[in-house]
Amino acid sequence: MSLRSRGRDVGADARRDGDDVVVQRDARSTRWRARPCGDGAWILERDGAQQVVHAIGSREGTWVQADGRAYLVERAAHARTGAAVGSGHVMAPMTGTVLGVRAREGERVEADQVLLVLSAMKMQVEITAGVAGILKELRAVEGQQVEGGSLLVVVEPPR
Amino acid sequence: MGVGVVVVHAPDDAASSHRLAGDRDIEVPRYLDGAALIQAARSSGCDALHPGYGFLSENAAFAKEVAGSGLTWIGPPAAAIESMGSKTGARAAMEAAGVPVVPGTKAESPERLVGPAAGLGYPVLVKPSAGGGGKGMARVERPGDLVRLARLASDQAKQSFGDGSVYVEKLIERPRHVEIQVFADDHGNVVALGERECSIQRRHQKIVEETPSPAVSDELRKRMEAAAVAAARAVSYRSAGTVEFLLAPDGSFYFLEMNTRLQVEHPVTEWVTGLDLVALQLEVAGGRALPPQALEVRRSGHAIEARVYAEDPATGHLPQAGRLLLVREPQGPGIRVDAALEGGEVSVHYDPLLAKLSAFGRDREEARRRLVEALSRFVVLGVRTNIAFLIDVLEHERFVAGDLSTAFLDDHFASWSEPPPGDAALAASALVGGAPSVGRAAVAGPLPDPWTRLGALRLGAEA
Repeated sequence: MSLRSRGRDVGADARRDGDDVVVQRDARSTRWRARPCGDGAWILERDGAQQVVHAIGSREGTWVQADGRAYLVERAAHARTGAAVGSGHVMAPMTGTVLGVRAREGERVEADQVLLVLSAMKMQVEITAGVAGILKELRAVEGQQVEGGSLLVVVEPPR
Repeated sequence: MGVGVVVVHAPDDAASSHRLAGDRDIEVPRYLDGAALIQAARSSGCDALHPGYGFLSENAAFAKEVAGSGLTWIGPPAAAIESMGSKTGARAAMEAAGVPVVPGTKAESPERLVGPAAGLGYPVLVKPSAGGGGKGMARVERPGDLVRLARLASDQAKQSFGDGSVYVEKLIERPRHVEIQVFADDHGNVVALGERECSIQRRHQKIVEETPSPAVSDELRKRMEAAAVAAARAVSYRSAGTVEFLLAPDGSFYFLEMNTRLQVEHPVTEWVTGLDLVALQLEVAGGRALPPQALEVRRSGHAIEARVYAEDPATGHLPQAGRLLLVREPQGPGIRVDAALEGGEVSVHYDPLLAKLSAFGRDREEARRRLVEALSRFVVLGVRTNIAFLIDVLEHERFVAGDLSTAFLDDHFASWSEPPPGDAALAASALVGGAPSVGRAAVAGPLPDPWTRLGALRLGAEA
């Protein structure tokens, strides 16, 4: 799956790998260590060099700021479903507090179903499933502080 | 200053954080409902009303109503607003006062422009007699196009301003937009507070402003300031005003218009003069004389302002609406942010100006570098903005060289496009997931600046 910007394929993909993030462009892959700094800010480190980036999820894709420029980066799945990454791994879009949990483990959920409500940056943010399936894992309870990017929910899509 | 402030908000702007900035907050049906504003000011015991820098600030009828209701109008006399509100009236007054104007003529119908246009020599500029902001203006290269383009301007003027009379003038090629800040009180003082260059414009609207202008020498400044003071005196001006000039490459300058209000770009003047122009407006409205630091103004350093808009520079600067998901304002020495963006919704109902970012430096290069740095650290996610475009403008070699004209963006940025995201941006996109739908913001409302909206102010007891 490739990433898109302004509807155009950028010819690369990016994925989390533990604490790292990896960008794959053709045969070349670039790996950063990613450290969350709260409120959507992250420090990316590679070969001893650091840079600050910002990221926040939205319906249209992920808004990012890097190298002094803002981008809306879309995944192919966004275009199709208008929803999430489609992996079934639902991560916190930013650091915040869990205001409410709206689903239970083992439950069947729809792609646009609200699973959690986060409070962050003076906003309430509804976290949706992204894909339809069975809620396999729920890693959040009401009142809990969660780091941006941390795994909150795993939904297993039907095979 | 010890002045209590009552702010107003419209129902569709109830989430705006400017409501928290005053001592009291009152709802009005619409920001442009003059009667409701006066009622709100009177019922809350205000002594005076500040019209901001929106539509009502240059509305002479509203100024009269405010004064007639017993409130003090924080602005120029209604007669001065009226005199400068009509292009042809203002022009006649300026000619009489010895202020240089662009050669030109008014006509009741497009056909009657043919003779005068030939006398001026092509190219010429055709524009509606009423109105402003570049609406209906057209450049005419050949006599054969004159009547057709003038008719378009006339129709548009009739539609927008209810007055179809048109105006033709000599076209000054590659001018700079240089304006002089003036201030006048009721004690006979009229001062000029230096110039601002606002040549970087899209759709005839400024996006980058600076002072001093790289093109203005001390000698030229003196002449332009003298002309601006003469312009203000000619209409018995009071309060803050701006006299706009076109500055030709040969150093000649021509009166364009006078903005009878505080300008959006006033922070750059505040940076280099150390004056608070809004505080001076209150002083003068209260009947006091301009203080010594305004009468003998001392300027130092350089300041540049960039206007951050919710608009997409890659698609012809189309205004953007939506919810701001993540905002982080830059800070640092010599950096000023005029904005109220907390948890904001960018609405289609208001001007898409999100923030004014200005930087001060000992010289132009230091101010420019600070502004670029601040812009690149200004995080606004959720709605497309012109921040990257502004950085590219400020980094352009012709901008760095101070080689500006009102054609700057057409010359160098006609086909700007966003570079594709680099690896770091793509990496960032994988850091978050879940694609949340964002619910209600606890505090919301993108406000360009409290002065863009209308606020009624309560002057101190001694006023």
